[in-house]
Amino acid sequence: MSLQAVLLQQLTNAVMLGTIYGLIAIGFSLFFGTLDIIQFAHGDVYMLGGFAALTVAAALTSAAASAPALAVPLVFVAGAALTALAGVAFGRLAVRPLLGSPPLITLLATLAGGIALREAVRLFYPNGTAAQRFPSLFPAGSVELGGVLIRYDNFFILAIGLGVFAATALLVNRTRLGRAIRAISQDREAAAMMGVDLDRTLDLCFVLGSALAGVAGALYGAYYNQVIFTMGLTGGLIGFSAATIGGLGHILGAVVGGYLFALLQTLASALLPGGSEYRDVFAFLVVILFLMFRPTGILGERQAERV
Amino acid sequence: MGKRLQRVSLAVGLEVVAYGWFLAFLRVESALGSLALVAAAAALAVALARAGALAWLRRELDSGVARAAAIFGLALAATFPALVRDNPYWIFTLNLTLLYVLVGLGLNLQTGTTGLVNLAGAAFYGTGAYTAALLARDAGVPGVASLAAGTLAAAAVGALLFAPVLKLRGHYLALVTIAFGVIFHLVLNNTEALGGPQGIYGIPDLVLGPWNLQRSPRLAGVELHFYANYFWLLLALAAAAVWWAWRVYDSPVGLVLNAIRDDPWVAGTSGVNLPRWKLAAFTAGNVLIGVAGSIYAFMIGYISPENFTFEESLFMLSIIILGAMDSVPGVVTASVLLVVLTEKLRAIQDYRFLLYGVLVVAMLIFRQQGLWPPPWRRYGLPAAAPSSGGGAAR
Repeated sequence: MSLQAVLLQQLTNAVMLGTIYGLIAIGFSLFFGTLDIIQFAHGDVYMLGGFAALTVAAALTSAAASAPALAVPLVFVAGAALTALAGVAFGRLAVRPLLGSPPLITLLATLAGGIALREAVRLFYPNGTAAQRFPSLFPAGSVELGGVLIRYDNFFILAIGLGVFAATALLVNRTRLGRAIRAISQDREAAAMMGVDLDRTLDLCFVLGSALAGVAGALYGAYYNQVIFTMGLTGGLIGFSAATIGGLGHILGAVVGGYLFALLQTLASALLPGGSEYRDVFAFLVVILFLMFRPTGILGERQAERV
Repeated sequence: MGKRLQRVSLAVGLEVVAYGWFLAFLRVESALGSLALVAAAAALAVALARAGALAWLRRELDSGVARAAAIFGLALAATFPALVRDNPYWIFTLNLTLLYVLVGLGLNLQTGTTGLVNLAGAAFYGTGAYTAALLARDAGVPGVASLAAGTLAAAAVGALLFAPVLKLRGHYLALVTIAFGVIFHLVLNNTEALGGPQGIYGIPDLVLGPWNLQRSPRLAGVELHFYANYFWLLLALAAAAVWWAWRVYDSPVGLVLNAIRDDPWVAGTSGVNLPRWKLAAFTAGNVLIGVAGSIYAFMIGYISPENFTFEESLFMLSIIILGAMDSVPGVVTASVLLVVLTEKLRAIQDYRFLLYGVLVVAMLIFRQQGLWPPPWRRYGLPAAAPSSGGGAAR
């Protein structure tokens, strides 16, 4: 392949991965904005999303109702709903009771809770230690664009991702719930005094963030045709990095950060010798450098330390 | 003086009882017997705690009696390999416990005392282990030098990683350490020169002067497993580290580090050089972690990337969460509890990370202060016992 074709191929790859990363990163930003915490188990919630979608897809196949027009929406909606449920439960059990505590405490609690989720899947999902094959949901085949073959499922993944991004933006910017979320992220106490139902809104934040992670998990499964219980560790780390690059607490920033991180990864694997093995090393090194010079991210405001 | 003798003998007696209980606990094979022993000890501990034994213990630990009791306790502990010589596995388990005491003290200095979250404990431990192992095997560096090099490597890598991000707030520091842990694991797995996923085999014997630690020691005609050597080495190191950590805790330095953790603004405006002390605390903690890692490599003779995962880092942190932040006795208690109990309950080995995850979350929700929280500092107040470190800190 010519260099141009390689770059184009990698660019497609970056767009797919960036969509998935962005969906994860929105959750991190959302939780940081509203609760002032890093929800480190969010990566494992994303992993649960992959497994939830897999379970739904498997149930559909055995029920012989696998017409794609029906199966795809079902897998994504039901998978996201299951993940949202798990996310809310996790928030209620392990995050919300600790809200008044120092940041270190919530950090450790969510990390440990994430390990518990991951281990639970490994131990209790049938043959959970091995990677699970994810059924192909989209019609097979590909189309040639600029000398590069692009599989149909790439278009579906991109379309679903963009659709969900748009829906999230509408939800946050145009609805009553979105206004409540934005109010809470500006000032939790003032929002409560103005009549925002804190409990309910925070629950809905967990629903929203976890559902997005659920979609991301399902997309990951559809893209790689497999899910594995460890995918939450790197997935979460990448999501957090993406949210940080974009500016924590900033929803659009999370999406931008997701694409940027994917671009870094794919560039590394295309251009560096031995790159595909070291692509994450390179990407994380860049993130560390980034934190040194602009810790508030691309879109985050340069805020003074709040006292 | 008679009063002092009384107190010392009480402490010594308690130590003998505890040691006897511990040996019995290891000996008992049946699950029912172990449970009965644990239940008896727990009941006794709760009853004693209700009767104010913790405050008493704390006072005694602060007093001159502590030194005599500590020396006797160390001598008692040193007999351990001889008493379980038919089952070297328990020596090995205790060695692991002592390694975790070293690691726990290091992490406690960083995370508990100074508030710098280190989520890459296993990676720094691994830095020490890999450096020492590679130098000893491929460059033929002698034992002491490779231990020192492993220790230095962990400290230096930590300082290099940490120095540029000193200004960042907690969340970002956490991200940097996690990212480092993941990078470390990826690089080990993918670099053939570092052994790749197979790791490093055939690490040579650890020889310190005339003492080959891999050779079974012979005491009064009785041959012990070579783990006994490591036990004594680690016991001495852990005792020294505990003593040192205690001195730091009790000194103005401990107070300065606490101030950095609790309110960096006030600490900074009171003249504390924040970056310098943060870096010092982080590096000193990594020295302890690195020395433990280096010894670990020699002791088990084979290391692979799977020994140094993120889960392992979190297990290390759970020691200080269980024990209590900034508590030296807490670190020791939690290391013994976590390591010995896991080995004792080998049937649930596969579930251990699940249990740790749940345990840490439960601990943080229901008993955030840990098992053995440190008392309030009493500078300037009439002390409960003649203790060191009185007066203002600066």
